[in-house]
Amino acid sequence: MRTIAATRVLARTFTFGICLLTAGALARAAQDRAVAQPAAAPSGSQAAASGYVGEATCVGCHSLPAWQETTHARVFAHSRTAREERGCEACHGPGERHAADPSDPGGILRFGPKSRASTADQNTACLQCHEKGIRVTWQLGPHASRGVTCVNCHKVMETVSTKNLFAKATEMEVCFQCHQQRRGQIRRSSHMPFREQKMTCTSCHNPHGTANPKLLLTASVNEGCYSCHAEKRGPFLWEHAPVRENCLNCHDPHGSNHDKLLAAKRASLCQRCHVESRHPVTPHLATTRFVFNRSCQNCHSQIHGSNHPSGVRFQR
Amino acid sequence: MTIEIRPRLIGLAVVIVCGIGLLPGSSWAQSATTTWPARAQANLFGPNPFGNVEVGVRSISGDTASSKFGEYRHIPKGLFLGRLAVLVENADKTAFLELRSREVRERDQNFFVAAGFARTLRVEVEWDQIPHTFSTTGRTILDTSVAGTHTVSPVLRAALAANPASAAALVPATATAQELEIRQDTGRAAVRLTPTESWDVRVQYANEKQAGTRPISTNFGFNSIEQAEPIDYRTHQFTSNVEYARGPSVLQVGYNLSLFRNQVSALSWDNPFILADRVGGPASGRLDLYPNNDAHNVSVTGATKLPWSGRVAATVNTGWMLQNDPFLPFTINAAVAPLAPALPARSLDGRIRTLLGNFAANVQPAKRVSLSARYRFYDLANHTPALIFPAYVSYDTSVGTVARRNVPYAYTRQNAGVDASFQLARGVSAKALFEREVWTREHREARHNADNTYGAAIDVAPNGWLMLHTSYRRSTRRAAEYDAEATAHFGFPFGEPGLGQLDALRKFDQADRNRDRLDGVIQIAPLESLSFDVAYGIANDDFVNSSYGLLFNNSNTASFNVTFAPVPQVALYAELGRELYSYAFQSRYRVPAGATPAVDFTRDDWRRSKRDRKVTRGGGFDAILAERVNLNVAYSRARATGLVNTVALDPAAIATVLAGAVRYPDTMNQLQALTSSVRYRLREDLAAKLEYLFEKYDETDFANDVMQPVMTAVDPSATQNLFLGARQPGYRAHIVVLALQYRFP
Repeated sequence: MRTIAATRVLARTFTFGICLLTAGALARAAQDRAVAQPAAAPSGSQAAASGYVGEATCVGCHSLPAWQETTHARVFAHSRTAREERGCEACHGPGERHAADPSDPGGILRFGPKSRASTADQNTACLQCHEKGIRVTWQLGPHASRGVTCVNCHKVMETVSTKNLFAKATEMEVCFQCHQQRRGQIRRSSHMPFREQKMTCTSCHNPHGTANPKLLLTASVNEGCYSCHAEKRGPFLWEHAPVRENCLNCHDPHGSNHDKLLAAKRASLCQRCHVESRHPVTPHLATTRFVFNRSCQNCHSQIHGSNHPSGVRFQR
Repeated sequence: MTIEIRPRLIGLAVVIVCGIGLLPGSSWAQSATTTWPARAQANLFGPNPFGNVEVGVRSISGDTASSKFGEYRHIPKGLFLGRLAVLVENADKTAFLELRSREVRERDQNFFVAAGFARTLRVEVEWDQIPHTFSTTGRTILDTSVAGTHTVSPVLRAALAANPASAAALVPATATAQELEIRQDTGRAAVRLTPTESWDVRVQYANEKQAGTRPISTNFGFNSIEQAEPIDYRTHQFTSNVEYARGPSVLQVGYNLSLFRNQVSALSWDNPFILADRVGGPASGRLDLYPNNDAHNVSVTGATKLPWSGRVAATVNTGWMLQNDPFLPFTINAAVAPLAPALPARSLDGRIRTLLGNFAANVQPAKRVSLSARYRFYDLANHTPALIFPAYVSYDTSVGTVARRNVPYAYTRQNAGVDASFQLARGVSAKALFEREVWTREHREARHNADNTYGAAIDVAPNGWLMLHTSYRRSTRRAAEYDAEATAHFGFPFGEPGLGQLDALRKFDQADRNRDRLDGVIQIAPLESLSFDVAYGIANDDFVNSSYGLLFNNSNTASFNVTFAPVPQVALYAELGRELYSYAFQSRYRVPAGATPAVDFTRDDWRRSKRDRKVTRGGGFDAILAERVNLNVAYSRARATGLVNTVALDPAAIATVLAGAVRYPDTMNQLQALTSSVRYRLREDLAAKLEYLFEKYDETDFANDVMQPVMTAVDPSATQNLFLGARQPGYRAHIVVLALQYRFP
């Protein structure tokens, strides 16, 4: 009851907070719109005054045939905002000084490891258009706080992946640049269909930031697992407490050398928690039916939960 | 490659798409043949993904009967139509049609179509198949032709009932092959509407079907009857999200619906060893398969900017999980059913409500300083009624005497944290953090857990040739009000017979724990053409106050990669990875206090330790020769070994413990893959490819290698136990592919 009461208080607090936030956001939006309006026409004397020279000036020196087929080139070809109309300068900033003296970077924003700009400044250039959708909490996420830039994972100036402008040919190759342990894990004998290109890291995670631990897409580990394994969602009449709390108590979704992505080999997996009586507390030989095949699940097959009135021991 | 709409191209696309339906079983070689990791291979046509197709022929030899070869894929011999990708646009690129397919006419095929108008409307339709083969060696005496009602032939059953020992001869002689494979077919349709920069509306419906069979164990007491579980699932998923964004401010509202429907609600099977129902001897058994369930989820997220270059975001997400399938009777045993009590309800009316609240904010009070704070609240409230069952029927055999009550587990998890990041110099930053996690549980052993984490991170990327990310975290979790019998107190409404859990046991997910995590990655590129990556990770969990249960759980990982491109046309790489995982737990052999004599002595303690070691090696090269020839070779070997050892802690332990205090046979599995290909560009838009692949998988696992339908030769006490004999042996495959790749102009 105490939990429920606390829940209600927190729910009300958050609802109130959301309302406040929404009101603030809308007010801020109105303010931004009012402020942004005069700057929405970057042509002519205003553009020159702000240091923008226009894309035609850039392509006079910079020949980028690969760029023409990129997503951003297409977007800029159908610009809907004043910022997009700036073309190259929408991301790289005003080029007047650089155009006047090509040897002077002149405040042109470069991207990538050789850039002198901070990661925050580089990312801000991207976020001025992209800070919405799945990236709405980028600035609050762990990748941002660890100095990851957008161009660590994405390539804008040419197309190297079939989707999402990845900097590598595949999404997992992008993630494995830093998360190299995962590369080894998906090679294990028990694995989800990562190697077969039926799943990727973003099947479960949003690297741009989420409201959840481990950048999960869903509010809990289990809710993520249920998105494919809906049969295990229940609720069941007879529940197995560690199953209800966290699938990771028993499984390692990134890959395992044990059957069913288990975190440990059965029967040890079960015996770590069951010190009751008789067969769970016997160190059985490998040649007994308590160990071979599915071990404990040779009998307790409904270990994820049972809805059978006689299924209290997960055998029905 | 994008192309403008022209009659010739449209005609070609139509021919190709129609041809998909006419071609024999075929496959795009990529997923079947690409060794892992999927190195970016030089493409003679450049990187553009659109407007290309591959057709070819494949030859396979070797021993590929194992389920591991086709575990999640289908690689047939013969002609195949490979990856097809076409993007068609109108002249001003305001409208598009995109077609993609893989593994056409195979059991893992994928089709994707997208169409719409640039920046305003996108409609997607996708159909995807994923096979999952569990074993190809399964055999059974059960007739599974009627899903959910498995029978044994009367003649065989009579013979087995008359003489159970005859199973050793009769079952292998009469068992027939049992397919153990499911396939997931998912159809998906999605619409995205972005009428203005501010509005983004997304709606998606997906229908997933899973059908086939997979191994399941059923039982009559200690007698297992392993058989094929019929799988016929449908899952309907509807998701929707509306976003309004203006400047830095965003508001998102979403609703998700998921409906799971199981077309086979129960599994009944003949007892091969008993012909007629009696108390203590069921002629058949019945298992409840996964019940239908519904889930709803509503979420609201808002974010905007703060002063000092800050940002704030909040999310509220609430969901419901519902299940109300009718209960089965206590038993299918006609002799026992009249003796069973009445069911306390016709169905469960299971209801779980989840509530997530998340608040996070970040500001930069100074140019080089960033501060973040967050609070997260996740509550799983289980409103499922707790029903009292005065008795239940154990494995369809007899009515018990102990009342049980279902336990609606629930918990609340709260996380709060702050961190500060400092930019010490250009490209050098440090981060310090503190996090606290608190769990509050209902009906579990530890009513409260508090976990405090302190951490620090250093990130160095001062220039283009050096990058270092490293972090360390120290967590201390402590449990309060730990009661080893907490679940039993609720689950046995009229008292628990016997001994129950050992009081000193501490379950690892709630026990006091000190956790150390150290990880990092260093990337050094002294030359444009040369780079080294080193990654390492140490994760140690020490269950400091646990005498029984998991004592520690540690891992150490390290990997090393080097890539070298001596000339622009040639790239070489090599990799080495090592991982070591180890844990130990302690238990005690004991029997219920009601037994004579009761056994519950420290002398019968035993400890089991486990060590897994994984080593991964690989290397290869890509080369473009004379601008027309692309040569690619890649090799990888991933080998894992496992060791399990059990020791009795006292030489005076009971014989049961001493007999089991042995080292299990070591386990091993190893996957080797060699990929080599030569591509020759015949024209600007046409290339030929010759590819040879070798895959070899070996596995040694004492728990699986020995499996046969009758196991009395291994375990003499396993009479009246029947298994599928579902093994996953190794395989060796040689694959040769000859293909043509065509790029649209």
